[in-house]
Amino acid sequence: MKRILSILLAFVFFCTAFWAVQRLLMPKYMSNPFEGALTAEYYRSNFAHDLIIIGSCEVYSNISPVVLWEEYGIPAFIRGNPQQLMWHSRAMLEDTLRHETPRAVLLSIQALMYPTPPHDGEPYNRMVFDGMRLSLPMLRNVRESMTPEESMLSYVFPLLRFHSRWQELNHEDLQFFWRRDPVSINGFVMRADVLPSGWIPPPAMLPDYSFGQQAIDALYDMLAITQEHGIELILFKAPSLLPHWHNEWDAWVVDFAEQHGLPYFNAITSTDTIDHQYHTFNGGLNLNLAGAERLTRYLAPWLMDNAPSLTDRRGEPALDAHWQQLATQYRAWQAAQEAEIAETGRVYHSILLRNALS
Amino acid sequence: MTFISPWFLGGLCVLFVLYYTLPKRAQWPLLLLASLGFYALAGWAALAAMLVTVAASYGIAMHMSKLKIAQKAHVAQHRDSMTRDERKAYNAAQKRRQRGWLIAGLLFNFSLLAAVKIGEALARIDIIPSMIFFVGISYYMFRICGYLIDVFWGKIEVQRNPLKLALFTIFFPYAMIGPISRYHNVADALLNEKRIDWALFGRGLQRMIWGFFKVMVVGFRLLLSINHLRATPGEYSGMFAFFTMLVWGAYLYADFSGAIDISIGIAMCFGIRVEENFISPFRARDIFDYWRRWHITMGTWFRDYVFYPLSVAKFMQKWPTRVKIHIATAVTWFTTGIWHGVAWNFIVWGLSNGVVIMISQELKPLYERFNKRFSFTKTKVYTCFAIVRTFLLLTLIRAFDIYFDVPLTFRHFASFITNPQFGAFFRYFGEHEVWFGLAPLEWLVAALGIAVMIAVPWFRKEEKRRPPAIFWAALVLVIFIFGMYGLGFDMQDFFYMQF
Repeated sequence: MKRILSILLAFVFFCTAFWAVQRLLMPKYMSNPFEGALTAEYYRSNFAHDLIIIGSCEVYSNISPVVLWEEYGIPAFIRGNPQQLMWHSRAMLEDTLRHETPRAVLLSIQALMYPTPPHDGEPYNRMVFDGMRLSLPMLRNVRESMTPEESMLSYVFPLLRFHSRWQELNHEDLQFFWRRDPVSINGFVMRADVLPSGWIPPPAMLPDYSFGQQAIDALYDMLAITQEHGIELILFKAPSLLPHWHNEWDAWVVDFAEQHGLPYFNAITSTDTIDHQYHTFNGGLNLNLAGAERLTRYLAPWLMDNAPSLTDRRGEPALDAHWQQLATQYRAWQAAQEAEIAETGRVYHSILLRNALS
Repeated sequence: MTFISPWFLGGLCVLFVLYYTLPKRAQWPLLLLASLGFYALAGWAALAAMLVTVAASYGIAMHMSKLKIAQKAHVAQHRDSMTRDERKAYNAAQKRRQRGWLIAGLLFNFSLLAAVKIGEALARIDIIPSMIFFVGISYYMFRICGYLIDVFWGKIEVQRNPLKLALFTIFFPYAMIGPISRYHNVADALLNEKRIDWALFGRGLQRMIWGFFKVMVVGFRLLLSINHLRATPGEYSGMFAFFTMLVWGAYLYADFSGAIDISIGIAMCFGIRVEENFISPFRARDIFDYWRRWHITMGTWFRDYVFYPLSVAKFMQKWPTRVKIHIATAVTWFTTGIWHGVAWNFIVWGLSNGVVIMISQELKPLYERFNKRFSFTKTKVYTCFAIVRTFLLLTLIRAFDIYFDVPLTFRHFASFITNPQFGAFFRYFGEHEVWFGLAPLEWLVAALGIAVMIAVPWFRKEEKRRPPAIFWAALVLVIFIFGMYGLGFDMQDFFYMQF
């Protein structure tokens, strides 16, 4: 009996210590790269979103959920991560459906241009999946996303991946052991500063303009999933100057959208409201706050016209109160960034929401 | 596949469950299947070579056994009709026939081993293309040849079931890295039906954990530094070279004894006890003591099957005893070197051991007189001196395996005197943030690991006071945190798996 008790005690000790050490050693993503905290941020929201926006920085920097709500009454959440590939997006969609069923999904199709998991894609895989709750769909998507050096087990037990961080532990690891601060407002990452686009290299001719099969399969999967759940799928391309979006690619997407009766909004060709001398914070790759708000104001009416399931939900007290709170944070963040820009010309400190709100 | 693989560990768990839940008569066939599967993962050609060896050895052992039985029957039948001289002559003739078969078997097996070793040596210097890696061939060859010799000597009964003999030869925990078990030591445990012995199972798990700690926390960490140090050996002479030799010794012990601990631990979990291979080798007081503590099963194999038979061989009888012993010692250590590989560094390593042993044997009377005359030789301080002296001596001998380059190793020895670089060595630590490929904190972990490894003579405490379960839980956690594995770490095979 004594031996069994001692073994039980050792087991409990091991599990507890393993959990604690794992939590300590996992990156907290509370400063650079804070985008790794975006996936987990979704679980803090109240799961009442009519529109889920899925994609890479082409969505989380470019569309403002607060403008969507305040001006059009669409409650939206952005599920985006840096370099989010199509199969990552499928993982986001499947994960979302475990918690809520939105009326519409706006999907960035830019990642179709990436045919297979890039060799150096491990950090991006981690940013997508580290914050995601463990589930079978998640593991299936992990399997498709992994680089050859990665192991599935390290996504179930992240300690196996991050154990060597014991040398890099800092105050942030202790500070955020129990809690996390928000890094976005409903998935939106704000940048109010301006870095105009300079010389843009001409698009390189490609030997083959076909998309990769893995990316196409993920798109078809998302189409099937949304159809199965009665969700409207809307395709979207942000007005980025880089990486270049070839006409041949666009033609494929247009064709695909027509074949399946999907609305497709290509902001490169659909709008001339974006001026990359003023509306970008990184030389034309992504929009800054002014650009994001402009694009959102252009996109939202088109959405209302093309996605009938999206209606104006303003006036619902619970939603109003929730969004009022988010809008207040949004304005505070904006004010902090504008103050820092006035002082230094760029956004450094207030890039983090918690710094802006503190 | 190595022991440090989630697939291996997962498969092992399944195997434990099957082993103890299936009918007991299925236990040894299950182990054989698992061993064949494990070996097949190393390559079909390697598996085929192993099976050919087992088949040939089985046939020869059976034939020797038949000859023995026929001999006994003949002598019994003609007891009255044969004179003593006739009986003697008949027995001698029969023995010669059996010896002929034994030599044929040994020649066959060692030819295969030699072909593989020579092929590897030629491939190393690009004379022939790279060969298939016949993993663990040195180990199973020695097991099976030991078996043949024991059958010939009549020490053991012949194994009539070839599958059981195959299991003895390639039982997967010791297939790749040893220990080099003897048939009479493990056969019963391997082949008997067993109920689970929870105490032994628990000790097996603990032994595995201990092995993983040595290999993953200490061995693999030091290997990073070793790889750095030998990448540019010309730069690191004098004290640097001496430091490399010290690190090499610690690495080799952690890697090899750790792998053996895992191997022994797995066998224990199956209810099978195999021989110990290490008994605190860094506590040895002289080279004889060292070889009773380091790679014990290899040492005893060469002692029993090479040294002793050679010492008493007829053709040696014309020499005085001391000459006989020296010749046998030289041959034994030459073959020990060759066993490691057909390369000058291994041969010089083997012969260096032999030379030191021969000198020690010659000086033995002098030492005994010295020890008798001076009482301080019985103090702990002198014991420590003897331990350090032996450690340093073996550190130098072991150095031949670091660079696989004999002239370079000798140049490094010479540099201890001609260019010791004391100042440069100690300045190095102040001038660099990373020390020989490892960050200072990594060195701290390695040093603590080495201290724990040397301070805990596992086998002695095993049966007495064992640490509580919580200690093992903590050690597993230490392995998870400080072990070298995962992304960015290039996992390499155990050093001794190449033999």
